[in-house]
Formats: sequence, C-alpha cells, structure tokens
Amino acid sequence: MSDRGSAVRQDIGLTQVIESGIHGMARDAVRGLNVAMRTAKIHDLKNDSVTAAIDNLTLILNGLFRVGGVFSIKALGDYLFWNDTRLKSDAGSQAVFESVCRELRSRGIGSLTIRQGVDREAIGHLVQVLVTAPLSVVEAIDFQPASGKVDHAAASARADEACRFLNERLGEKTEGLEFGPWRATDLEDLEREQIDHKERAKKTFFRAVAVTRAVMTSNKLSQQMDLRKAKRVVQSMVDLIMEEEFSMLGLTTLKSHDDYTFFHSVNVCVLSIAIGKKLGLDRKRLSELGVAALLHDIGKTEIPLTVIRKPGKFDKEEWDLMRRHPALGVRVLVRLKGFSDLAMKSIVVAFEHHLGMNLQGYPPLRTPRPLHLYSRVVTVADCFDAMTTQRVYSESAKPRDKALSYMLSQSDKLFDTAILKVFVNLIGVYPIGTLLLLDTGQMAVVLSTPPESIDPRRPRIKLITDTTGIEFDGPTVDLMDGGTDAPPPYRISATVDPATVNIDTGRYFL
Amino acid sequence: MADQSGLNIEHGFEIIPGGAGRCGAGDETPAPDNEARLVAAAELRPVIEFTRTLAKAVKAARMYPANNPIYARFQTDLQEKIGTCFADSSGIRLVIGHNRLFCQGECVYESADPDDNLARLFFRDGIRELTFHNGIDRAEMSRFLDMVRATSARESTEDLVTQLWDDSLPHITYIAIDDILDQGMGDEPVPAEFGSDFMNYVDFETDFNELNDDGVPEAAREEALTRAGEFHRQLMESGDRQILALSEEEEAILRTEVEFEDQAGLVLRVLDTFFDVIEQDNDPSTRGVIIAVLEKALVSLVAQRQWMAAGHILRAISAVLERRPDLVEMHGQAIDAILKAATDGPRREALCEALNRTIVSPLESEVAYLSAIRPDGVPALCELLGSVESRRGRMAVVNTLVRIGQGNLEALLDHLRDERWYVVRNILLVLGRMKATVAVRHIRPLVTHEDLNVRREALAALSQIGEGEALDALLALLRDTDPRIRVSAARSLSRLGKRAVNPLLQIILSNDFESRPLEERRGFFESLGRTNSPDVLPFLKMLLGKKPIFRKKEAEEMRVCAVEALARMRGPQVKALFDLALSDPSSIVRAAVAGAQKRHDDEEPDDV
Repeated sequence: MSDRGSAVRQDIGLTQVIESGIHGMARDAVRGLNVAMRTAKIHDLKNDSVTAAIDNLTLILNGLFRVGGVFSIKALGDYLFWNDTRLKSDAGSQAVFESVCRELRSRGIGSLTIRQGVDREAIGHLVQVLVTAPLSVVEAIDFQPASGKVDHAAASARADEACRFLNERLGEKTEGLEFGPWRATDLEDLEREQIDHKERAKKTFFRAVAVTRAVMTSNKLSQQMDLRKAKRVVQSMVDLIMEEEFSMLGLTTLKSHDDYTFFHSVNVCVLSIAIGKKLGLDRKRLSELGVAALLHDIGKTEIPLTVIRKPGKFDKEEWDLMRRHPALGVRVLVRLKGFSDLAMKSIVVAFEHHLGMNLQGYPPLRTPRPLHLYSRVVTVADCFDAMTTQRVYSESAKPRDKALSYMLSQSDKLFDTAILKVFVNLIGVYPIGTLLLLDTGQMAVVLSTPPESIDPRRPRIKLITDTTGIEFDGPTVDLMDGGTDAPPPYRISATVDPATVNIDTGRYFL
Repeated sequence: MADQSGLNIEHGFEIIPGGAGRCGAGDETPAPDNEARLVAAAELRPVIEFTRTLAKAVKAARMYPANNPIYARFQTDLQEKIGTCFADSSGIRLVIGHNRLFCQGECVYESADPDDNLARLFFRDGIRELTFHNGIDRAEMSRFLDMVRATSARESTEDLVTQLWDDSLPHITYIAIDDILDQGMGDEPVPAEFGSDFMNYVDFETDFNELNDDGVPEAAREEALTRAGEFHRQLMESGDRQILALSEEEEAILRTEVEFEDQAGLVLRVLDTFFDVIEQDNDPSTRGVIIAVLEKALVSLVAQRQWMAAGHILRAISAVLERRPDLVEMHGQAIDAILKAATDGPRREALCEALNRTIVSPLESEVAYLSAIRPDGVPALCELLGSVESRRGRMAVVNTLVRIGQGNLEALLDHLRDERWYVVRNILLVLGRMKATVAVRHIRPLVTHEDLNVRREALAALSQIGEGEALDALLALLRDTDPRIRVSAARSLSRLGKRAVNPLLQIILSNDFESRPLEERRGFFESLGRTNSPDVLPFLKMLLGKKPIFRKKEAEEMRVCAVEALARMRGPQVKALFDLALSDPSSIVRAAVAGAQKRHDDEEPDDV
C-alpha cells in the first residue's frame, strides 16, 4: 500500500502514514477493542457476547504480536496512532476510531499498550477495568476546552492521577498492559500534522489542476489522452481525503476565471470522492469515481470555439449543441485504451450526469433506466460547484448555503435525495467556505463542519474581520466548544454573499 | 528541488545520504570503513542475490507467458532467495536510486544497461523505497512481477505506483513521490476557451435563469424557491440532523449499491449508452466512432465469454436498425462488420467450446447470444451444427435456426446437400420444427438417403410439416426396408384421416403383411384406427368375425390387431364391435378387448 512521501519527523516520533496489511490488522484490533468495550458496558463479563468479543480481540492481538510484537495505541484528537504510525481510517472505521478516542480521553488515557505474552484473561481484565472505572474517581474530562487554551499542568496532573488509578486496578496479573496519560501538548503535535496535511492537500490540488489541464488540452489538440497521471493524482486525492477531507474540501472554494474548466473538474472530483467516502466506497472505487468525476465534462472540449465564444445568449441550435457534450464525452472516452472498469464508469458518468433523477434532462434516452451511483454522486457535486461559481452572463454565484438550499428543493427531480442528504451532512448546512455575519458584527469563514453527532448549525469558523469590519487574521473558533448545552461563543446572524463585500473566501484555504 | 547540501528534497521527503538507511537520489554514498563494509557485504549477500534474481524474474516475465515452466523456475528461485533474506529479518527495505538499489546504506543492485535496469524502472515512476515484508507468498510476488512487466513493456495504462495502489499488496509497501507528475506539465499552450468562456454555459440554473429558453413559469419558480427556503428554515431552526437522516429504504438501496458491484449490469449500461448515442445523436462522425467501438466490444465480450452482453449488442443493433433504417445507408458497412463478426470463425469456435461444456450448467447466456443472431448468421450456425458435440448444445443451435431460418431458408436448404450426415440430420430437424412446407421437395429425396438416421429424421420432418406434399412423400416410406420407419410413416399418415385409409389398407391387405412381425402389424392397425374413419369399421368387423379352421394363430393375431384399431376409435359402432369381440372364442382376443375397452374408457383416442 502507499505512502505519498510525507516527511519523516524523528523529533516527535510521528512517522509518515504507511498502510499495509499489518495496519489492517491493527485497525481490526481497534475495532475489536471498541466492540469489547461497548459490549462489556451493557452486559456482565461472563455474558456470551462479551466473552465472544474478548476472544475475538485476543485472537486479533495474537496475530498482530506474531508480526509486530507490541500493540500500542495513542489517541490524539480523533486520530489514533499505532506504534507511532497513524492508522488511516476508512469509511467503516472512522466512527470506531472516534468512539475509542472518546472512551480513552474521557478516562484521561492518552495511550494503551498491550505487549506480547498477555493472555486472554488479562485482556478481559483490561476491558473490565476500562469500562467499570467509577466516575467518582475518574471524571469524564473534556480535554478540549472551548477556549482552545489548555492549562497543560492541571490537565496533565488529572490525567496522571487517572492513569495511576487505572494501572493500579490492572494489578500484577496484567503484566504487559499499561495505560499512558493524556497530554495536551500532544494536540499541538497533531496540529502540526494537520498543517502538513493541509500543505500536501494544496500541492495535490494544484497538481490535479495541472494534470487536468494536460489531459483536456491534449484532447483538444487531438492528441492521444494519457490518463496515467490523472489516475495517479486522483489516488493521492483519495489518500488525503481518506485521512481527512476538510483540507481538500476547503480548496474547492477556490475559483479561477482563467482556468475555470480545470478547477471545476478538480472540484467536482474532490466533492465526489468525499461523498463516496461517506457512502462507504473502498479506496479503489473512490479512485474510479474520482477519475470519472475529473473527466465528466471532457465532452466540452469538443464544442466548437465559435459557439463557446459567442457573446450574448445562445440560440436554440447553440443550446442543443452544448447539450451534446455528454454524448461527445462518450466519443472522447471510447478512444481510451482498453475497456476497463474505469473507462466504462467514466463513459457512464460523462453521459448521465445531466440526465437528472427524473431523466428529464439530457441527452435523451431510448428507454428509461436508473442512473448509476457514480452519476448521481457527480451530478450533486457538479451542480454545487457550478452554482457557486460566478458566471459571466448570469447573476452572481449563489452563496454556498443558498446553493444547497436550492439543491434540496430539487431532490428527486434532479438529484438523488439520499446522496444529497449525505452531501449536506458532509459539507454542513453552512458549507465550508460560507461567509458568515456574527452577532458581534464580525465576519467569519466556515472552515469545517462538525462531526455528525453534533449540531450542524455550529461549525468551526475563522474570524476574518474585527467588529469594525476591517479584515484581519483572526482566530479559529469551534462554535461547538462547551458542548450543545452551552451557548456558542458566537451566534450566526446571517450568511453573506462574498461578492457583495468583495471578499475572496478561497484564500483562507490556501 | 535541491537544498544547499545538494540533497533532493521532494515533497517533504528528506533523503539523507548514508547512515540511517537512506540514500541520496544521486546515488552518492559515503564509503564506510573497511571492516564495517565487509560485515555489511556479508549480511547483505542474501539481499544482493534476491535483487539479482528479481531482475531476472522481471526479464523472464517479459519473455515468457505466465504458465511457462522456465518462468515458473525463476519464480521458484525468487521465493527461495527472498526466504533466505527473511531468515534474518522481517523485511527487505530497498532504497531506490536512479540506477542502483540500496539496502542499509549499501548498493545491492546496479546495471549498466539503461534499458534493463530494475532501479531505473522503479525510480522513473517515482518509487523511492520498496519494502518486501515477511509473509509474501508466490501468488503475491507473481502479481508484483506482472505489474512490473506490464509497466516496463508499457502495456498497462497505469504506472507501477498506480497499480500497486490499486492492488494493495499486503506484503509489499512503498514510498513514492508525486513530484514526477509535474514533469512536462504546462508545456502546451492552453486554449483560451477553457477559461471564462466556458462559464457562459450554465448547466444548472435553468429554472432560475433568464437564459433558459424553455421559459419556466414564474409560479413554478417561486414555488421552488419557497420550498427551498422552507426546508432550509426547518434545518436552521431545529438544528436536528435527523432532518437529513437517511430513511431505512434509502440506506438499504445505497448500501446494496456500495457493497455489491453489478459488473454485468455495468457492461450493459455502457452498451446502452453507446446505442443511445448512435440513435439520438445527429452527428455521423460521433456515431461512426461508437459503431466502430461496438465491433471491438463484441469481439472482446465473446473472448471473455460474456455472452449476455455480446448478445445485447446484437439485439440492440436490430432494434436500432428498425427504428432508424437511415443508419444503414450511412453506416451499413460498419454495421455489417459487427453482424459478420458475431458468427465468424473465432466467434464460432468460442461458441462451440461453450456449447460443448460437459459441466451440467444452464446454457442460458449462450442461448441469449444465439437468440440475438440475425438471419444472415444462418450459414455460420449451420456450420456450427457440424462441430457441436453435446446434444443440449446442438439443441440450442437448432432452436436458434428454427427461430431465424425463415429469414434465410436458402442457406438451410443448401446444407441439406452437406456430405456430413449429422449436419443433414440436424437441418432436417430444424426444417421439421419450422414446418417449412416449401422445403418438402428438398426433403423428399432424403427419404431414400443411404443413412438410416437421415431417413428417420426426414420422416420426422415430413411428419411435423404434416400436410400436402409432405404427406405424399410419406407414402413412399410405407414401403421402407426398415419396419420402424414403415410404422412411423403409417402413424404419420393417419393424420390425414380418411385419406390415409386406402394406403394403409393396401399395406395391410398385401400378401406379406401377415408374415410381418406382430409389432409392425399392430402399429399399422393402430394407425388405421387413428384415422377414426367410419370406412374402416366394415373391415374391422370382417376381421373380428373371421375364425378360419386353418391358420388360426394368424387369424387370432389379426383379430387382436383389429381390437387395437378399435381402441383408437370413437362412436356407437365401435362399442358394438367391442361387444362382438367380447364373445370371441379366443381368451387372448377377449383379454385384448378388455384391455382396449379400459383404455378406451380412460383415454381420449389419439388425435388424427
């Protein structure tokens, strides 16, 4: 499996993400631990379900020990590190990782080590200790306070106490098991990791734009299209989005007048992969979806220049010609070498992406048929990006939240309602890049949407103007800080059309 | 990009010369002292052997097919070499230089030949580190070799990194850089229309944009906006994600699509897309491109034994041609090429192989393909009949010919002159099932064919056609040398009803009839009975009353035969004759009457 060249950072011991079959086993161990803990919370330790869960966990750990020797996990935010390597989550395991991180964090645990030689009885005892720690002694501590500032000393002291207690409870029977305390400073390391991720995302995004330019230009110039680079760059995007999607999603707020087509294609690719990840597609299929999304408008390269460059409105004939671009896309894509799955899916998406769920779109079909899953995904992504892009002859680009609202009104006519819901859940009701007016009079940009379990109206934002309206480099604020019961640090008064205030929100993601 | 020390720093991947197991991309390694070097050399001997063997295996993979024994030997050797390496470590970590491979800071592979350099192959695709982990088996290594072979021969449309990523080999990990993708980019001038001009075209605002020539009514536009606003307001006020939660049904549908990939469905969808373009798009060049692809698709699908999809192409062509006959004029040659390809030599061979399958599994997909073949495929299918050995396979072809034979009867009739009796026999089977009356005069000569199977099949065909000249031809068979054919001919003739009585009686009353086997005589009488003609009754009555002093046995047998005839007739006179026969002095005759009466009461007489 792959790594895309992350830096080796010896100083903090966090190495590049390397995924292999062994890491798959580590993920299984984390899942097994999660199942064991959840089952043990509900049932007695002697219960069959609990017994089975612990047996399964023991089996997985023994397999892992044969290869690695030590099972050591570290929780940082919602990320898990195994033997100092970050475990990549997939769609199926992300929720599990978050759950395990929460369980450990709420007990003041930053790390858990299980060494080879630990037997089943000991593992059962570990699970019991974890789930039965009395709350009077170990408080459910929120180590991510709303202010974003951590009293490191106090937090560390509480974590130390909690871990000491837990390790004592483990007792002598469980040599080879150890809890490590949670540390606030580790979060800073995580933030550094996130910055690195953001840099990689930027590099990959712009590389994707360049590759798309090369592919579409080569077709325009009647040269043989070589998709190797496109596949490669899409795989990088999949890797990044699998780790964390918001860096890439933020970059979709970038728009370019000169390179509209390429940016649009890449944006649709990013959005589609992110939706696909939420749907649970595996990475190979995500890469197929990504390439298909990247090429969805390839047919436009076949439209004559005279039509595209015509000033003013199109007449009926010209509209008809433009509406041929899906069929023209098929013509382009059948010239690709081989009849692979990827080629076929790209053909289907290029053809179907303007049909609409009610098939009232274009081009016409001989007989009605349901749309392919990838087509339905790309339709949503395509529409959102197109609507949020400023046009030459039309009104301003729709603000992102308004675009979403319009799309929701068209569900089942144009869009697959289920996929649309997944999309809205992904980018939030205040999508990434939305410009907000706060109750303080300040403006802020939405940086990311909160996880699914929390109020979708309270995103993570960056303040970009002061109370007098002057732009400044303000702090990042999570409106969920303090939890749903506490009032948010700022209230959202309204969304703002960036064009009306001449603010380019895209630059906050660079 | 190089930093001040001359190192390559690519995408954050810091390459440190020597030491720490990392080597510079410039292949510059500081020389360790002599003793350390000797130790390293000894430790790395297995790795050197491994890389050398790996290079040879890659070369062999290019030269020999996968099942070649020479290639297999290289693979075995490779497994042995890698096994030796794993005796001391859990993995072989190779750092990839431009021309050399390194392990633990030492060069373990190099090659002077730029066209035959393993390191260069990996380096070119951006791989900077490659690790083989303990546990890698032959199958996995074989997949790796296939990837390297395809990449080096430029067979694949993907580079090595893409293939490795796709395949996720569990015991081979790598570090790759993407900066190589930046090479050669931006060299071509970008057509200006890829910029703002494209933004003229508005895809999704047709309900809300004045550029929409369809002219959405104002009320509809307002309603949509109101709906949008209302939904948004609900979401804002409640903050409840449940508004956006998937219903059980939505989740189930999505989960099915995500978890189960309908490969066959995808192929059909793509084919349907092609035909949508062919039929609906007005541009001949676009159609031409797609039609050309269809021929390749057909060939490819048959080669993969995807009969359903291949048949789908043929069926869709027929449908399109019906709806768009004008396409024949524009693309006739290309369409012909597809239809010819459907039953040409290689396709026939593939079909033959599939139809001859000895495994008992349905031939559903092959039948689906056959059912899509058009009448111009008849000659090819007739040829196929000559080579399909399995009975059920032959029947599949026969049924196809029955379906399409009317559209190309000449081709069928031509094959009646085939030298191979089994081909003639099968064509007769087809003609009979088709009830091809125009074929009778071609079938008729075959009633005297030298081969018994052919004569039998000719008889069956004539019987199935069952009228006019066909029945006349059967008369000749009443005098065939084979008693079974004679009886079958009699049976078939009985369908004529009254017309058949005289010919049958002629045989029955012939001099040698009584000396024929009883089985045959009964058969003729049964056929006589099946005519259900009242003209038969006086003869039967006469026979039932005949009780000569001499030749009693023969007479008794004839009376039994008469009873058999009666059993297949209806009417009050028949009952009367039964009653007459009941008083026959022969117990054999009386038993025959009892049996016949029972059958008579239980069953309907045979249809004449």
